[in-house]
Amino acid sequence: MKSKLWKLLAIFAVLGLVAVGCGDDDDSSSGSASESSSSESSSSESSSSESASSEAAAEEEECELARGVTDDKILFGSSQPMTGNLAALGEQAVLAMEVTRDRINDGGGVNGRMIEFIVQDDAYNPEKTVSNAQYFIEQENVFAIWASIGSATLKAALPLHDESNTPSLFPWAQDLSFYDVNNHPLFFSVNPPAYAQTKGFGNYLVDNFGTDGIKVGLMTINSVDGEQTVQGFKDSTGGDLLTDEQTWERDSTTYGPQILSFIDSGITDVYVGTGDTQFAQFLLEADQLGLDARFWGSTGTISANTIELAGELSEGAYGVNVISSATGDKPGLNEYREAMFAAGAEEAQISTASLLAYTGGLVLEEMLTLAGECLTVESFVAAGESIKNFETGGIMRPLNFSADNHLGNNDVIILQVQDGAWEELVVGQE
Amino acid sequence: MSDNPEIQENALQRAGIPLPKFLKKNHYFGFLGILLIYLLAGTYSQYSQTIMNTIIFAIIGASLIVVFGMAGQLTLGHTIFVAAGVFLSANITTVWSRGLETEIPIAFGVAFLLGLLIGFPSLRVNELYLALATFAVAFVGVQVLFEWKQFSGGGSGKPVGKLELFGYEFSRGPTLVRIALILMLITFWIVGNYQDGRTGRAWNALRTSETAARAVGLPVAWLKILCFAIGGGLAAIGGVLYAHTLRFAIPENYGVSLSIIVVLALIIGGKHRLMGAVLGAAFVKWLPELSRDVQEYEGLIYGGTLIILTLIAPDGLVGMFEWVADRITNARRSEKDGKGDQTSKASSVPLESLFLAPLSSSEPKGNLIVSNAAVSFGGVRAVNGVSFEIPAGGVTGLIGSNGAGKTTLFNAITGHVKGAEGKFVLDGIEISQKPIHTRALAGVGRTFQNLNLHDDLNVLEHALLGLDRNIGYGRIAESFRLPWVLREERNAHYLAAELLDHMDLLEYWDEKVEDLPYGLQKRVDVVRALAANPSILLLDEPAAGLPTAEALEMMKKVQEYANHISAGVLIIEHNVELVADVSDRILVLDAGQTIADGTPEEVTRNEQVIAAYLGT
Amino acid sequence: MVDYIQIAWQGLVSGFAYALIGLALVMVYKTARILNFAAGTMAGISGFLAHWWAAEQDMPFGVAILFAMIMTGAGTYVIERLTVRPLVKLGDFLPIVIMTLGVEEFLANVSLLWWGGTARRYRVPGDIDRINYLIGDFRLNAWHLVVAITTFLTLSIVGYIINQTELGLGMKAFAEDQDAAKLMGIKESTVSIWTWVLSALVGGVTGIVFAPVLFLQQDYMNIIFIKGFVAAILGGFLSLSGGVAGGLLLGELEAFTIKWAPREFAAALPVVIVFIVLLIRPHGLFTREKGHERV
Repeated sequence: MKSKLWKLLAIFAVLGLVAVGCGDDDDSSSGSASESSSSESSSSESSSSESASSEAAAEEEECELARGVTDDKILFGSSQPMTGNLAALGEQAVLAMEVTRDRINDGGGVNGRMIEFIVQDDAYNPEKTVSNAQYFIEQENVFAIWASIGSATLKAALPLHDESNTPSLFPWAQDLSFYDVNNHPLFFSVNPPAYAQTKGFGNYLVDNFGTDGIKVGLMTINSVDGEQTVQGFKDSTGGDLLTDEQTWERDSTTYGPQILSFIDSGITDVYVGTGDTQFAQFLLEADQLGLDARFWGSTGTISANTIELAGELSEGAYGVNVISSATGDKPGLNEYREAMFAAGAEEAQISTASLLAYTGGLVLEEMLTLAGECLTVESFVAAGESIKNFETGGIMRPLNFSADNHLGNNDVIILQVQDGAWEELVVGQE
Repeated sequence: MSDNPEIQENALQRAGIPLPKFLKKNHYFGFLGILLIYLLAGTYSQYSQTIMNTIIFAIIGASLIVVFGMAGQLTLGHTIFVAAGVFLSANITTVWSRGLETEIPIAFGVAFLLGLLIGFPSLRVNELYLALATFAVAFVGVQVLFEWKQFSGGGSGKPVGKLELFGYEFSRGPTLVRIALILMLITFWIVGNYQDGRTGRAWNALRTSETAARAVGLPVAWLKILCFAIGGGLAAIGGVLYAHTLRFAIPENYGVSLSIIVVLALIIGGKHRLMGAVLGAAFVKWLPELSRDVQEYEGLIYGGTLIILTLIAPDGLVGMFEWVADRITNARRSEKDGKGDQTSKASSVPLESLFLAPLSSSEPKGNLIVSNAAVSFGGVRAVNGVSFEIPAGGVTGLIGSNGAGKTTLFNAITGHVKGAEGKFVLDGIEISQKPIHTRALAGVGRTFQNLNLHDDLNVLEHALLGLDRNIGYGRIAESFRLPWVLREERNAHYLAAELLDHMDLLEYWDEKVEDLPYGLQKRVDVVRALAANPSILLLDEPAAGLPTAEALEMMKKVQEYANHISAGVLIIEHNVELVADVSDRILVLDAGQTIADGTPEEVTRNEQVIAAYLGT
Repeated sequence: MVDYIQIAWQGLVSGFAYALIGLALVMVYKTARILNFAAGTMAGISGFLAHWWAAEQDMPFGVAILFAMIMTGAGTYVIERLTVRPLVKLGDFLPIVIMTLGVEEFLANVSLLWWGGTARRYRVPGDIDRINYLIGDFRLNAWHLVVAITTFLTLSIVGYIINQTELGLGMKAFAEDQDAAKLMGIKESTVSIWTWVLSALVGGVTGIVFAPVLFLQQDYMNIIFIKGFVAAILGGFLSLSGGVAGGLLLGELEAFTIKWAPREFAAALPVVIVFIVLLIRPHGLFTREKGHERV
């Protein structure tokens, strides 16, 4: 009796497999067809950019809006570390995105369309980022992925974005490979690669402190950006100044051993590629152990929270940034802070992470405006590439994009903590 | 009816024991799971990523069933095999530009070898310590990946090349899901085959009692290492798929947390069943997927569900379903039992007619020479220079007061005690210094004073475990359930059934041993030892706790069977009447030394014995 | 020479954290045979609570800590009753481990929703965590001294409770032989729950004293928890003093290997050493191996 039941089930199973298998065949052929068409369209984009305006005129009569775009709404997706030890960054970016959305929508939207976005947590796990990307693209039908955080995570998700003709906009991700317009024609950023930042740091160091007696220690994360950080410094200084090279793991609880090693090597300058909390802890432990050197923090360390956490110890620390300090006094920055505080931000959330997302939002608004009524991926990209001398109220220098450069900003700004606030010393370019 | 030899049925049919088939219940459950995913994949292609992840975790879960579910090795290092698959896949597709046909065999092979290596700590440590040892392996594994830049790309990671098979390129998405399902089918089939074969049985046995598994002649050390190798190899297949899903491999993704998640998933699903692997994977992958709309509370929901689930289904989801199913079938069965009659079996049937011929032997075995056996614990010499010889084929009793060193002497002979001195020769082969299972294979069979049975296994499986050495198929054949595997399994089932019949255990064949009354458990212990076809059978207080009549009845059965296979018997027993009744000869131990040796009559009259033992 | 002392001291300070968490884990495992995966997160929440009472409810420093400890104890009491207790009667190790993983996930998310992901500074009176004394070339942080004293006090109190109180005797009885303890009339559920509470309080102290060192951020006690787990195993997992010694040893091991080993192996080396130690002494450094296989 029992065995008969099993046989019956097995027969059903086999029939089911066959049936679904047949159905699936059609699925896959249509899938690959759409894939090939998408690659065609992406290759045609770069050529279309120059004649964008004429094309837009031609399309005016019958316009097929891009996925995620309706007459009154544009939908974005954003994959963020909302849990785990990078949750603070995710929270800050989302806050800045909300500020941007409210500003645009309160002003009546862009070309009559309101901005909306969905946030999904990836806990800085590439597997989740990829799942999130598919969710955004295939279930929520978003227009673009906006302001995601993380190089390792974006590396996994970017192929999916590209294949599905989905722009990747203003992420905080700094791997060199992202900026290649030929491979990633839909990637736009205002955040120069980690490589450029240490290169700028090296140049500034040599210009201002010379090379005599200078011994540099680099402390980088053992992850995607880390090696390029070291390479950037070597390329700017020839590598002679680099005396000690240490790495940290995302889950380290102490930097004591690395600091002791720096003390042993007689380091005069330490560059720490890390986030604000870790930088504060590094300063704390360096003080405890007696490391007497100039401290240089990377983009992630420039926030009000570094000063809050490290207190006095942060005084005199340098920061190597791609953007003005979030706490600085410029029209754009004041607007940013006002909006952030109005949205309920804490002091600690005034940081590079939120400012980068905010600035990306400014450019995004401009791109959407320029793309016009008929918003397609092509018109959007063309609009982006046409942006020249875009003013951000002093947050960055005027931004310029072109068909072979989707990185609008290549500033390297040197900051220093003076009297409990980040002050700009030099604005240079890589 | 069975007392008429002409229309005699074999015991297997009489008890209604199903013969091993090509596909079994487990398979159907597994196939159902796969079917479910296939349907989901076809209908909801927008979920292909989550479906892929579910399949990958189900494959990894199935591989963990081997290591953890069956062999019981709690590992936190499983991620290293997944990582091996991922990075090999990345290298093969980019550096060699080869496709799946190269990736899968190499990933399996490399992970298999890796498993052989990683299995070694499991020989030294157990439970928590093994968890830590494997945790260390995983921890070190990630560091190796970080530093071995050529292979892994270091911290920057490595891209994964195209999805190809024999030079044909496939698009990812639905095709990848289909390929993954086929691989899942294969993995499940292989794991299912182990579950129904001798290796799975052996793994289950060593999980529940390593001591007893050794005593029955199973190569426990090799089996442990093998479970890591096979489990590792299968996990690497999951890794290959993972690589193609993520398209980008970075070392930090393959840390200990991934290990914990896969173990967690399997436990939630149910660690002994393939369906458990599917349900567990579905739980960890779909709960976040389904709670996307309330993203902010996803973690709370996940943790809360985990808590509630553990409260209502502590044995996993499969355990819960099986419990419900058992309730339903039990209700039905008890109705039937009311009118059904227990067919009693006539015990007068000669053993030769009981299909047990393959195990019979006419040449007496079991000539055991013990010279100068000595064992000390700390300063106490529990056995102090005991020498005797047991002639082949006879029954010898071993008596002595508590603490006289009887069980210790047994342990010295079987190898269950470390550092035993002296020389043991069985049928002309020296067995001293050999590991336990080698001695067992040389013909030493034993039972245990405190019943070392395998909880979770049924009575039939205990008999089959004993028969293991008489089952003649290799592990590779077992993996693919080749025709002779089925043939051998069927033969073993016939034999086991007859043996159970002889020992009056047949009607309990599918009872879990822990549910049986004590007397029957004792018999199961004896059956397991007898099934191994020993040359000499060491029985450690087989009658303890049994009424004398029942004990005598059992001993008679044992003796009959021992005669049938011409084995010798050495029996420890406190019940002197019983010993005198069944033994040809009796040895008396006191304070670690033999004080008497002779026929039952001689010994019971010996004054020293009376003073030391019988008198009190 | 000063160099060695400095490194040894740094290792010792990390070791205090591992030792305390190791102790908390061993305590529960020894009496109830339960591995509490939520121990790290629970300790972290104690730290957040102490900060919350002090910084956001304007309580004096000491009172805030007292309140935090009371909440930790009460919370643990409830958690044990609701989640672990119903599973104990099954007598199976794994469901309880999974349960504690579920509790961990749940609590971690409560903490995240309550306090957010941004790191906070846990202020101590007089900012003594920023004061360093110079003794010759040896640098001594004032707060590290407080950590050392607190660790010493905690260990003494735990030692007193175990050796001198009824609860301690009950714990010992259960650690020796569960069945015998039940026969002696000691109530298993009472001993178990107070062991849990005591263990959570030890964890809570750890979370609070290390908050100024690590900053209050989500998950800040998780790595300490893993290291504490390693320490407990190194110590044999059944010996309270072994757990403590294992923690201190692990701290030193880390400090010295990371200092002198090549950078490539530095992170993994302590774990490798523990691994090798375990292969040689499978039952840990501080518990005696059983003489022979039980039959």
